[in-house]
Amino acid sequence: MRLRIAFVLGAFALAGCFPTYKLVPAAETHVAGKDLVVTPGNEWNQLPKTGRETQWDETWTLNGPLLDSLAFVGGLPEGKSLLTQKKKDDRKVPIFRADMTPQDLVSMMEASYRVRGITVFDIESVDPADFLGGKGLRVHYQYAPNDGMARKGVCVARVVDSKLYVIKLEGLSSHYFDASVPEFDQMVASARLDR
Amino acid sequence: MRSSRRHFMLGAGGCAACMSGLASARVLPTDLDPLIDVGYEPVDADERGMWQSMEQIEETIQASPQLLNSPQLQGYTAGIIERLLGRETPDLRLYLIRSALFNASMFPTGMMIVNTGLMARVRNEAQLAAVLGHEAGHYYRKHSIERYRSLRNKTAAMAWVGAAANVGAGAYAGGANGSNWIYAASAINTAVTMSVFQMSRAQEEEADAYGISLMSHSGYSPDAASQIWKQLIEERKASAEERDKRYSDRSRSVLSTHPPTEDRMRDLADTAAFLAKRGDQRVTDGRAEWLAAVAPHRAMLLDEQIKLNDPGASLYLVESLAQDGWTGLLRYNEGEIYRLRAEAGDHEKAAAAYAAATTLPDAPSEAWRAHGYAQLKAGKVEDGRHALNHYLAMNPEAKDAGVVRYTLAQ
Repeated sequence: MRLRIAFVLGAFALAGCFPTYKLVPAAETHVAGKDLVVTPGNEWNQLPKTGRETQWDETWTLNGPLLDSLAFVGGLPEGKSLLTQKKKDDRKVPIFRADMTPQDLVSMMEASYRVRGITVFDIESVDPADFLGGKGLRVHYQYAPNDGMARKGVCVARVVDSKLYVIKLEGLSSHYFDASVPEFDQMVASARLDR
Repeated sequence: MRSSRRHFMLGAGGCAACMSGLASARVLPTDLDPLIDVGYEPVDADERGMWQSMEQIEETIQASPQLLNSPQLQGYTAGIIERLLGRETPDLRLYLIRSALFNASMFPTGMMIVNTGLMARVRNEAQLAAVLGHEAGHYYRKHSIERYRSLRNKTAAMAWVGAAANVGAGAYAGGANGSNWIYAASAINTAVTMSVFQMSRAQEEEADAYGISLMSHSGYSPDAASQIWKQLIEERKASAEERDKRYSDRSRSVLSTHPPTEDRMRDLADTAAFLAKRGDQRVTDGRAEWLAAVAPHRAMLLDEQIKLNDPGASLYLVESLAQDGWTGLLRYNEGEIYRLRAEAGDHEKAAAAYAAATTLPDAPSEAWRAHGYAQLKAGKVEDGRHALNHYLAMNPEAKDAGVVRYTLAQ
């Protein structure tokens, strides 16, 4: 499957009409900036940036972004938001603050979906979790975008030195999400900060 | 059909009278008959092809996780449609869709979509009836097929129908290749936002007139139709003011197919006044019925709106509902609006709203959680711990019980 995707994407790239995907080797690598280091067990494909991603975002996929995605936030500073947004946007993701409670962090993450028109979004669980050498949050959720196909997601998040770090896995509920959870867990367990 | 046709006719000789009563409305409610009957079938190849695509979209919507699964609200809403038409309505199939946008839409096959964002905003049964009657007007006056015929040679319309056909071919044959997912996404998005079947201005005006006529004949206060638009304009103004920008009526653009909102409100009010003068029937706004029907869903409907973090619109909605008295649910949602807005002074406003919510008997358990975290943030550790313990006692299986217990253990 990965070969096929690489072939198709390669053809688009040669044609010069498609932003390029980049192959991520199965080896320790810096993601979403300089701080966050993870070690994938598979080769992944790094997606080109979309319009609303910030400079602290990076997203990968194994089988294609509509089927699964692994996203990283590598140290969002205080005063910034999870999505790029304009001052006068009607709907906004709350600004990140280092003193946010677990409830605030979950609301902020959820808002990043709601403001994009996703109405069906259900939190499945919120628990403390080990991440980057301390206690962060682990949130499981489900949502339904307008394509009619339900997605599952899990993310771990932690605030370190007033910056937000996140690793987030999403995929179609039917198969792709569950298939990548073991690799997600392994990557969270081995993630570290390089500062 | 004869009986329903009778419903739409206001009687001979109405026209001259209505001209004097309708200063600005362009379409007269007296002029409109239904153009199709129960059991209507497509008449030619064009229409049959479109129906086939629509039916595939309808099957997708039937299986969509966005569908609101509430037989009670579904039955209640379908009952309003039957009251409007004065008969059973096997030709109209209603779907309640969880989307926070204020919208409803009508398809040429008889599929009607009503968003929860509309349910969140109507204040009485008559207001819901106004929207349902308007949408029924699009169907019975055959607006969708007219619109389709005017668009069918255009690339957008054909691409859309082609995409819809692929939903069936791919998703239902069990196929799962990338292109079919994309087609599915495109088709359902289009179905929900109705970018192809946006009607012309004349059709919108006609549907307004048709709907208000149905309301009048079924005993609903026709004033409700203009009230909805008044509320919507006020809400949009509140939203714009909050973001420090000027309110602009997007439908006023020359490219818009919708009549300008304020004009529409005035037309509907004029028509309602005209009908009121003519009618000797007692009308109702069905407020008590609506409040009873929506009560089990109010928390979900508010949640869908408040989490958009559009504080001007959300405060307008909550404060409007609170005109009947503040409840624990409304106070909690007021606090949520301030917590998400998080501007200077909002922590305090949110904390006050949560504290007020917890003194009211219907406060949801989440109000206690929010109150607890607000107290902890304010340095009131004992009060905060007490509130979080209260939350867990009310809701020991809460989805976030794990992290709340962790907070308490610190």
